[in-house]
Amino acid sequence: MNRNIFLGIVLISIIFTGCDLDRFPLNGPTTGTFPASEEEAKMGLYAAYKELSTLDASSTHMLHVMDNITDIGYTRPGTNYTSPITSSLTTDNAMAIKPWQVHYKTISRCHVVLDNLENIKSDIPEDSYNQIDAELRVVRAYCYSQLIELYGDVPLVLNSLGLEDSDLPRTSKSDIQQWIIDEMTAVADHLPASQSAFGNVRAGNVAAYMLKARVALYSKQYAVAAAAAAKAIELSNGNYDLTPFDNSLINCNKTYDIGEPKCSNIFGYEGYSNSKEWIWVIEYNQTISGNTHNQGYYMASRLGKGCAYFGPTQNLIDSYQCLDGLPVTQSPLYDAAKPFDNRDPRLDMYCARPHSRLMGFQFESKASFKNVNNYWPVLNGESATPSSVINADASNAYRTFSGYYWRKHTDNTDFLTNSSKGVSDLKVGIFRYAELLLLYAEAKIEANTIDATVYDAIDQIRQRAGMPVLSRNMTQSQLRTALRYERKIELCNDGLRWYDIRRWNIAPQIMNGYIYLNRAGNTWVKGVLTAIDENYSPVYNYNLALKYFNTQEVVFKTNKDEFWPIPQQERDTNPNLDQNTGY
Amino acid sequence: MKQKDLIFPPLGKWIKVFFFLIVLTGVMTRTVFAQEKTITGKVSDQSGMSIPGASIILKGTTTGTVTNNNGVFTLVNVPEKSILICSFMGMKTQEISFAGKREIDFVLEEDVIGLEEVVAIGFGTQKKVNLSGSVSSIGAKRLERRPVISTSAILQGMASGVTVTSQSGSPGGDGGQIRIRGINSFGGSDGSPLVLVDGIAGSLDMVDANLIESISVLKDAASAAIYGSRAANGVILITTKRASKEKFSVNYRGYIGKQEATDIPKVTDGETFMNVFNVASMNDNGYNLYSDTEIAEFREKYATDPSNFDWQKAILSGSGFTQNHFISLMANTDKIHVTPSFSYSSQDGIINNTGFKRYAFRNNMDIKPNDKLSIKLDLSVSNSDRLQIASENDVWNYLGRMPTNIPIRRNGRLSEGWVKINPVGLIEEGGNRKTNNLEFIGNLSVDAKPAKWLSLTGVIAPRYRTRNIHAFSKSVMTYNDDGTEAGSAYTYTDLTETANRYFLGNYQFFATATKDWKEHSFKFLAGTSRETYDEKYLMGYRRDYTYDTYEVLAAGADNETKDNNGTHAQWVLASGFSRFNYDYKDRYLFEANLRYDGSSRFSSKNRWATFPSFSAGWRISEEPFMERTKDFIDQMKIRASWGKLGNQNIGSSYYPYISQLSVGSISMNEQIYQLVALNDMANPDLKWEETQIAGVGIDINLFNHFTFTGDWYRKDTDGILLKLYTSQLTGLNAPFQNAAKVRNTGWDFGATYNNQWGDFKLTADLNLSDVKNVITDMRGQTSGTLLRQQEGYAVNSIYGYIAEGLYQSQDEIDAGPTQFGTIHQGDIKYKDVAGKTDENNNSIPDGKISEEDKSIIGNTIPRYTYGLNLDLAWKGIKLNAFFQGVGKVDGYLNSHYVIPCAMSSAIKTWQLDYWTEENRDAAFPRPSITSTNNTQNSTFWMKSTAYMRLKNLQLGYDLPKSLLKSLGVSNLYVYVNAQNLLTITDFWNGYDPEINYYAGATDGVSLGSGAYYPQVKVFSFGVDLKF
Repeated sequence: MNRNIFLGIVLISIIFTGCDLDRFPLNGPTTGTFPASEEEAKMGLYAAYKELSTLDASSTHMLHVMDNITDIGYTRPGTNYTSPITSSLTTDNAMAIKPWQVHYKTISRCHVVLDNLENIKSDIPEDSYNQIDAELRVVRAYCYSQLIELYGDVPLVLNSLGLEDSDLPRTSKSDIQQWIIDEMTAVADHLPASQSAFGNVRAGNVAAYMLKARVALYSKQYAVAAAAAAKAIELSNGNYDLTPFDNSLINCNKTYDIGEPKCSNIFGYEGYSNSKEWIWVIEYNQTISGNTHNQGYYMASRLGKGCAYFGPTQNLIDSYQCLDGLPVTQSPLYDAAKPFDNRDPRLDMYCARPHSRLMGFQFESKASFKNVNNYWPVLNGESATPSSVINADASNAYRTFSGYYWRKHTDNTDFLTNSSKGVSDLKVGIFRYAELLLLYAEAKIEANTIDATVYDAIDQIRQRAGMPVLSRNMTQSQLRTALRYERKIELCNDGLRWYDIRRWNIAPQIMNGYIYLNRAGNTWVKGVLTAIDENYSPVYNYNLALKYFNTQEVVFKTNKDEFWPIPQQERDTNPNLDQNTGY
Repeated sequence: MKQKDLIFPPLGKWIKVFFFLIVLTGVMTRTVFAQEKTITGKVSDQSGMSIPGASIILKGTTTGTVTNNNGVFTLVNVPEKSILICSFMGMKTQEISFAGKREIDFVLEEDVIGLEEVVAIGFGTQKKVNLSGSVSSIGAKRLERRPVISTSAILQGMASGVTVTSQSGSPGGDGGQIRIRGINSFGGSDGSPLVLVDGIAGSLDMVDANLIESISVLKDAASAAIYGSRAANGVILITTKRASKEKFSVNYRGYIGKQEATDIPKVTDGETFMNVFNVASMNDNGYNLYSDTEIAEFREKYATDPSNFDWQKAILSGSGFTQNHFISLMANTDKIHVTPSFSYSSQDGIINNTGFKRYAFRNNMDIKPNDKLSIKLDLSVSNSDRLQIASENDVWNYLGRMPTNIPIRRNGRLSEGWVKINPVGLIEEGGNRKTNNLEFIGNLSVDAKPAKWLSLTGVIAPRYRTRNIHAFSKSVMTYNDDGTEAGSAYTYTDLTETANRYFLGNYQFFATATKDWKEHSFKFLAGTSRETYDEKYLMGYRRDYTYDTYEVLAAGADNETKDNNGTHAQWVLASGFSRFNYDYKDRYLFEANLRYDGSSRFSSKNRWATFPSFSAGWRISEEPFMERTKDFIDQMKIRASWGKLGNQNIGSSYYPYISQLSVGSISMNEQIYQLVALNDMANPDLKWEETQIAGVGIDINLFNHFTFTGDWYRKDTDGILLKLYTSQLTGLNAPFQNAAKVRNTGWDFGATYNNQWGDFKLTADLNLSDVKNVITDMRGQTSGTLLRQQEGYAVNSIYGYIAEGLYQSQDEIDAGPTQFGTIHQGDIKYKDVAGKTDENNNSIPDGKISEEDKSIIGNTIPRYTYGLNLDLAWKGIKLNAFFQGVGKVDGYLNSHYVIPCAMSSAIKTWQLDYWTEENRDAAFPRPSITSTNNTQNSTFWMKSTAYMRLKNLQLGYDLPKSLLKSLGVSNLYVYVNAQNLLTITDFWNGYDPEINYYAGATDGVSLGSGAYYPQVKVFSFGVDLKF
């Protein structure tokens, strides 16, 4: 009897629990056989591109943050942005960790497809196969090109990693540079010249050659760089070109009452959509959840509904030539009492300085301007008689800390949405044609194979800005100075300066001592500037400058600040990962 | 033989019996016993009140009965010369020898020390004296004294070994975080105990405390192993009230009260703010941030309307009114007992437009068609609504931070505040967030007794829950002085509606067999259960509301910005379990449990696991050699146990062993394309977390007034399911791994003293616990930079530099190590401990403060937690005081919550003690906006969060029964109550010592931030009324 009861219980138990315990995810596919089709492979590729948009600090893409921790840009003082310029970056600094995370994540998204792509090779057209393979390898190589700039030697991961095989050691920077060059050599010709149908979000062969040129130049393989850049320029024909500035160019060197200089037909919404300047871009779209940034808010003035976080330094402002192509220390056109007259128009195109019009407002940083003009509604014309508003750009304690604002990479349309919650979807450019021309020129100059094409490359950029062409027959070092001027001025706030001052080895000099800021909007005297050096860095008389400017102390330690630290947590999990010197 | 067959019908029939028990109810016939001698009697208490439901049994047998509603019993078939035992919960058991009498009356004495107390254990009850495991039990009386809406918060300090922490006093969000005997695991596996409401997994905070009859906390493996894979963090059993003795009674309990913040960080005025920031800016960059004119202008504005600068007062303008009403009926007919109840609670926040409302219906019904069958049918519906403002975190962030030189309004319009956030504007017109939880629980339990020694129980308990969140965020425009728009932090007026629905199926079947043979008692329980879980999520989003009074999706813009989302997930858990109890002479107790669990959360090869436990007890006091001590030792028992438990609560993924691809979107040329990405790494080797607990304990009752329970234990958790930081080279989010081991060693004890001198009564309960927690293995890795998990240290430790005060001179700076940035006098000095190694491979200073110099500096696991409850009564007057606290623990705040001038924060009154040439002995470093040095995580910003709190103070009066009788009222008690009246702590001024415990954080602890709804003091007045 007891046995029967026992069996009964067992039987009931089986009824209760006998069913299977398998439960599978209901929300999406699982890895297994991914990618199973061309469509899936493309969706995997898109995931890699998308990840490029997540690299930010202060909700601003890192490309537009980086110049603000150099000599040409400044960020509101605080622990986040003061530490990288005072040699006090810690190994757990969030900003220094982020590129490591995002680039390796992008690389892994490439591998999810690349590792298994061969399995479907026979199922899809060869051209499609080759293109997907090539794009993934361009994205991956680009990530490595960024990693080695920031961290030096980094682990070279070439396939998906699991828990057990992720403790890779670092590969030398030069080996990775060579690897990138080889990769681009292998895949560039599998790509179409332009992917403008995809808004240049997808890389074409111009991007691949340009990446090759940039990495070759940075690794001092000048001939390789020149050849790759020449190839990219050739392939650009009909696809990419310099875009002329718009009519507001006439407002440069003028005051606010004349009009507002704007470069948004290149660097704003319109420029990204219609210009031929951009070779490879990162696109945002606010209809996709989370796919926005807040760059407009961080860059804009107080009156522009921004928080005045980033801005150009006095050092950059003083670097702009006068209209005659001479530095301010030499040009007869320069008047220290009216320092913004007769200057390279890009000063007003790319930066905003006092007495100019910015985002529809008269911009004044001097406290004596209690009220300023408001020209809104800017987007539907401008008011004939401006209204007057209280000058928050001089009264807010947290107005610009450098004394200037960036005009480049801002768009007046964002005025409507600038806020702390990040709803701008202005695109961010990775490669543009102006940089390509300068890559070519620098490679040729450094290779000392200077010819007319070098002058032509630089002159195209100068002429667009309304600056005189270079005088001919310059020496290699004169041309080098001219090139470094163009890179500093034309490419400012594009995210290239941080590495330029390192690869030219001028950071130990210019990032030690002080950078100059003009919060109060003071006028200054000529003697403040003693020279513009051969790298186009202004040299100041410190004691005299202090009367007019405020300063930020900067520290650059050789054998330390060439690179950022390897994130501490990465080293904690990976015993094969050593730290950069100095940290 | 025939008789036997009746009791033991064939197998097939029993299966039918189980499945058709309800149908059979009417069919089954009552077994009628032959009558020989009949005894009748009455059971009453000392005051002469009759006691219904008291049990009368014949000693040495299981024959017995219970008293009816009038306290009268009839016992038939009683042999000569037997002894009758009469027992009732809360009363001392009495034995009377039969000796031929026909009528026997019992007058029971109240049992002040609870020798006969019965406690709920897994799948049954057990007499407390016969327990061999470690169980804390809390009765209704102690719960009733606490007018608190969140039941979990009541548990704080109530039971030894149970630590409850609560960061917030937010209405509807003030539930406590419960940890039983330390923390077993970290890194995302849930450390909360399993909560069972009448045997069914549920949520503590959805049960009104008035409904609870008792709470049992199963602390060790011996008592919890019957719940196997989910018991590793302990088990809390809630038993709700059921109809008992009265034929009919109505009970009303209610209170009204008012809340206010226990503490907030007090701030200085705007002029002080400007001056301190000028000092900071001068320190950093050599210029003033605010000119003299600006300060003078401020002074003028401030003088005209100081209240316009009092942000804290404007923010904390909610009424804080709170009330709770509970009404229950008990009705009892012959075969059906019902206990319907209804409760309503409401709580308005200390900021406007926040609050919580909950109502709960419950009906517990018992049907007893005959002796062989009993059916329980419980139904409960509870509905709660939590109202918050849309951006509540911003408000708390700015409570102590908003620069005090900024006015709330400029010419009547909201001023810009900080970064276009005006917290007062957010409260008044920033929209709302409404969370609705609607829960239905049904519990049908059928208990059949086919034979005296056997009972079969089947349970079907569905639990259906929906959770709807309505988040309507409105753009709040802020203005400049001239009336122009300064902008809005939230640029869109938008609505997100989310709906989660959960269905939990719970099916149990178990059998209990008991058999006594001479002086041996055996009890055997075996059963099986299946639980299923199904979760669906649905979301809709629209923005741009032209008419922002219509808070529905349909009123938003019908364009490409509208969005939706949905997910679906399931798991299932199947189990077999058994328990075997044996005792000899009521003296030697032994128990064994075995549970076998299978979970869908693991791959098929790791799916099943076994969880055994063993325990033994020895009631020394029952030994003949203890006869002489019987006068003062009422009982003494020693216990020992060992067992193994599991944990399957890993994060939010129910499929952690499978790699899932996520679908997303990318925009190219303004066209949206779908993309697929692998974000999370999977780990197919994942298996259960296993916890082994070994412990010993002692229970002593002395002099009929004093009880003592003490326990020592060691708990080892292996294979902790942990998201160990994995190399970012993988590009994937870390998977769960069975990667760590944690040991908790601790002791807890509870003591009660209970006495009465004439009309004066005293009860004192003290409990004190300590646990030492250490991570014994973490595969050589660490995780976390401030909140740290590291081998050799406790879970959730604090990690940072050791601060050695402030630099006083340039010489000292020059002689010190290289720190962060350029160091000035008045900056924090850190201790250089490591960085290099000497010839013997010992770590030595390297003259540089770097990562190597960081160490574990603090511990967030509360040690020496205690509760002291005092009940004093004199005639009808009752005074209850409940103290609760923690003896040793550390807390950490950083950023603007404590560091002067960080994040442009308002200057707190106590921050003025900063370093200057003249104030060298300062509490804070020199003010700096940019210093990276002073903001490093270090001992400088860490403080002890040990505290003692007068958690509850109640003074009440029980109106005399004589007075009430004429009114038809049987009980009336009125009281005034104060909660969190007093807190003694050395923690940072203005912050509650429990601020770092944040249930939403992965590890339950979130260091650094103080942006939380403060704890509240509650003053209330209440009435208990019974007809």
